[in-house]
Amino acid sequence: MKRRLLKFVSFMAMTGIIFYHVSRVLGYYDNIHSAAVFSQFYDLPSETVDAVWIGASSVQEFIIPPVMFEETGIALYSLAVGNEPFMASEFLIRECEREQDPSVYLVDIRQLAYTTQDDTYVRRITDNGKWTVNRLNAIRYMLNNLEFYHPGEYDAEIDYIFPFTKYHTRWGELKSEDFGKDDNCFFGYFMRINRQSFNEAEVRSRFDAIPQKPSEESLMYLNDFLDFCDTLDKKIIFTRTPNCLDENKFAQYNYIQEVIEERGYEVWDLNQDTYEMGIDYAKDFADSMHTNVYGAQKVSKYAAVKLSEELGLPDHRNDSRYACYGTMQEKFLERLGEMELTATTDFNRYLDRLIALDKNEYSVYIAVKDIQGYSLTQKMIKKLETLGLKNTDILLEHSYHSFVGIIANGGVIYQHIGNGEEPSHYAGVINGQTISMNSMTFKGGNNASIKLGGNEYAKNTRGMNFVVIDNKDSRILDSVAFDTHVSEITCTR
Amino acid sequence: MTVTSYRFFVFLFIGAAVYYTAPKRMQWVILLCLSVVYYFLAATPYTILFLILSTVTAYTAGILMECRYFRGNKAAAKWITCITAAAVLINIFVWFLLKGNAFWMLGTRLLHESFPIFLQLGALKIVPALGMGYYTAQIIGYILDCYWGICTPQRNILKLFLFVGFFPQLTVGPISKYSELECLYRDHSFNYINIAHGSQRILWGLFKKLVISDRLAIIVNGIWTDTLFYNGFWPWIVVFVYPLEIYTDFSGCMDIILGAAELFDIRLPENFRNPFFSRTCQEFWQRWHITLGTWARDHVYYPVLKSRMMVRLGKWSKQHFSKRIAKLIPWAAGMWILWFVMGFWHGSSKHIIGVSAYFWTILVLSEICSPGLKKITGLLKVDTESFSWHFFQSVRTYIIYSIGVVFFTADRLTEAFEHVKVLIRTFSHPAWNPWIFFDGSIRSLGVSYRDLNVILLSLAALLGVDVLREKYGYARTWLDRQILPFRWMLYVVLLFAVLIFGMYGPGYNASEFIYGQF
Amino acid sequence: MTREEVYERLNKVFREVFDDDSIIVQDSTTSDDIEDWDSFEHINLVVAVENEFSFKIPMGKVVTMKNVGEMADIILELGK
Repeated sequence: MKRRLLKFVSFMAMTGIIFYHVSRVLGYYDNIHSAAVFSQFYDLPSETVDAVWIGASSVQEFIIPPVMFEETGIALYSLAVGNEPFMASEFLIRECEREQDPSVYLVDIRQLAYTTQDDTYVRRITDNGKWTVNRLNAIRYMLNNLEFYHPGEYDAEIDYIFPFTKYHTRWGELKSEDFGKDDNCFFGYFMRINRQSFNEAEVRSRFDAIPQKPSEESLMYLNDFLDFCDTLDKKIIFTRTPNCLDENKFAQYNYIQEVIEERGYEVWDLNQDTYEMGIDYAKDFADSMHTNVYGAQKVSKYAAVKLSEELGLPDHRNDSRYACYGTMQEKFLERLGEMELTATTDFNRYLDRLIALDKNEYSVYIAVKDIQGYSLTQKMIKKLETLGLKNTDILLEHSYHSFVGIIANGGVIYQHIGNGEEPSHYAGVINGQTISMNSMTFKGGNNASIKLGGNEYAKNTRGMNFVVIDNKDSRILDSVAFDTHVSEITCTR
Repeated sequence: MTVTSYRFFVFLFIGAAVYYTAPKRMQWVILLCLSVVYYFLAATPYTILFLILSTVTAYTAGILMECRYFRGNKAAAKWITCITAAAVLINIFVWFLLKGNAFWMLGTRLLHESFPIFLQLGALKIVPALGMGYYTAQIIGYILDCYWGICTPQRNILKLFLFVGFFPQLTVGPISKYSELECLYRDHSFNYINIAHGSQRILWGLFKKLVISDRLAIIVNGIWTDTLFYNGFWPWIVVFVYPLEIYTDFSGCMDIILGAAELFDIRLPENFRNPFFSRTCQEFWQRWHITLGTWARDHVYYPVLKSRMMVRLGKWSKQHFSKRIAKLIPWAAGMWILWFVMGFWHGSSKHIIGVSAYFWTILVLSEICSPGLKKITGLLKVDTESFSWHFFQSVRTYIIYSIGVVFFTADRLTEAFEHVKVLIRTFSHPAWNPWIFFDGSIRSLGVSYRDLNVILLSLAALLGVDVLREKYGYARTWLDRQILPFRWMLYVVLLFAVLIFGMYGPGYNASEFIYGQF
Repeated sequence: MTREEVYERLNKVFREVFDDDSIIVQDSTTSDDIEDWDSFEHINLVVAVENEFSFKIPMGKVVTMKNVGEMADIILELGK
């Protein structure tokens, strides 16, 4: 009998452990890396975080904790995901209280001027939270509100408590992020690199919009949350991150700010501080709601200084327990470099970025198709030479030259410039990978091929074709071609 | 609360916990309460009155049969026959009232029109009870068995009600004999093996239903609902895939039910014994929906063949025909009645009678041709015990069954003939499209290659388990002999196959069991 | 009627029903011992036995009889 019981218990335990790991993999997935926001938070060493910033994408795309750490040494985490419903704020603070016990909470009010009609946004929080009573309460509270204010078809409560019932079908679409490898989340920050230009004067004119009441639903959430804050013995600051939204939104936020200040809480309207931050309304925004990575760096640095000076948050830069922030900063800069590279469409700037790349971490393969191009300039050739390629001034000639170049292991390991219709080839093994390259001029075959392990990666259009590999995991970082024959030097990606 | 819902499993395990902690004398009462609770959760509550009605009629008939006034009194034998017939007819009548609204029998409409009570009843829109076809057949079996002295009538009406309404049987049967379910009233001690084996069986049933059957249903429903677009060979895919869908659906549900009963130390009769391994059509029907076949054989076929009319027919045939034909005629007549009743039980719509007629014809033809076929196999020196011959016979049986099932899938007879027309049209020029098997167009049905792989692997697993069942009676017998890590690995793989590949959760509608409609 | 007589007549019935002159039945013979004796042939056999001995075997016994020995017992009992 005892043996049976032991068998039963060990079988159930084994199954439970396997189920735990399987359900972690077959879990929530979206393209803003929400799952990583939470998993990185839970993985931090306990009681190291001094401040937590809660909000929607108004925080997720503005606040870069590793940059803040580098600036003033403060340990802050950005527990924010896109469209985070304001009604989730209490639940999130309770999570932080249990896991980290920070001394300061910053709560952004952006989402109060929007409605959450979709349970996807609720799931972003509940599917990623730890299995605690707090999470159960959050599910019940948020589902009740959803059903009350937006009656409709929602999943059964059990499907929220066990998100596995919804995501088990993802077995056919698993990605590296599901297995914990997410390179695009930096302690909560989600990077955007595109740019939209706004007229600063016009945006500033909306700052003094006459306060206007938001929806009843939002006011209810705000008041519920303020009641909860009254019971909390921590410093709570409400924030408004910089944006270029319309007058109506500014009006609502002005109203909300008044309500909060009447209840005795501080509100940091960072829109008023954009000048001190150095924000350029023409370059630092990705869209009316979000800054891009350049704007976010400015906001983060400013906020870091403000938190350090006004609230006296400690400087942990020499504390070994906070080494993870340093590591995350390195990852951030590396990823920034990669994103900048893959976003560049200007040939000159592309060459600059190639020069800036760490030649041990990345390999660059270059092949010419048809003709190396009449539009190459002396400046470009100089840059090619800085990369380590030799005799590249031959390419300035207005005649056909095939070209194959390989930059790896810190320098140029192969290059060949063909004469007339002579093609250039390479075949060999680099860093454990089989490489085969071809460059043929117009009459010589009119083809550019860069094959790694048998798979073709070159864009194969006229001009210079580049393929950049991240050596760490043999990932293709970039495959781009520049038509260096025409003056516009068209970029094909 | 269907048998594939989370609630059902919680219900089962709580029920089992109460059951084994209660005093042994009270265990059947626990089962009774569980059945009532299950009924109220799974079906429209007021329809339990129909089960009560069936129980009362059967109980009364049984008690009267045993009554001293009738026993030993030769003249009273007629009375007993009347009581039995009345009890059976009442049950059939109630069943007919609720399930027979689409009946084609002559005069039904006249009946409805001439007696306004039927119209009123129709207007009330009374819903049939859960598992009405199954428990009605079961209780009729009980009444007849009491009449024939095969079993002693139950003196406790509540115990009889438990026999009628035992909750695992309420969805799709099996149709049990009273003697098989006497274990309901015995004492049951907690035995770890029952819980383990019962749970494993439920898991296997869930695998068949949620992983295989519901996946195949996507293909079948996708094609069948749009035969204009999916013409040519598409309907033929349905013809050969649908039997697998029904098999995994029905036998999967059976496994859940039998596993659930096993948790309570009750052994229900098996309903399937690897039907697709059958060599002949006759054998197929002895391996498919076994309890219905046994019920029909014992309560319809046997009495019919023993009846005076049939005996006279037999004697008449012997005088006018050769020995072989003389044997065939009563057999065919009996079969015809048997198939008619089975068709009738499946539902009162015309198309089911079509299914019955088709299979009856096949059985008669195969019986007539069988000596001829034996001669041919002898001439060709075919080894009838070889694997390849068995395989050929199984494939032949499968094809015959698939074609018969075309009638089964339609809602009306005219629709069935439409389906047949569509199938025949495949071979005419515009519809001829064999390339659909090779160009990936199956993905337009919403089935990815990954899903197809899951289907194929699962069917391979199913085949493996059924082969083991054929050899050892139960695959579990073979499994019990294997080493612990292997067994545990299989259980874990099976559990996660159901959890990951099962078609359940938000976004899926819990699909009805195909056989739950009877 | 003695048991031997019953068996003599039963042998005749079995040979007739199963079309096999080599069949000899005993107390322990069951449906497993004769190839064609399945549940459908069973009723034909019973009807043939009824015709031979000119009395009806009750339905209850038809289903429950396990071997030829029991069949013989029923015949002897009903013959009285």
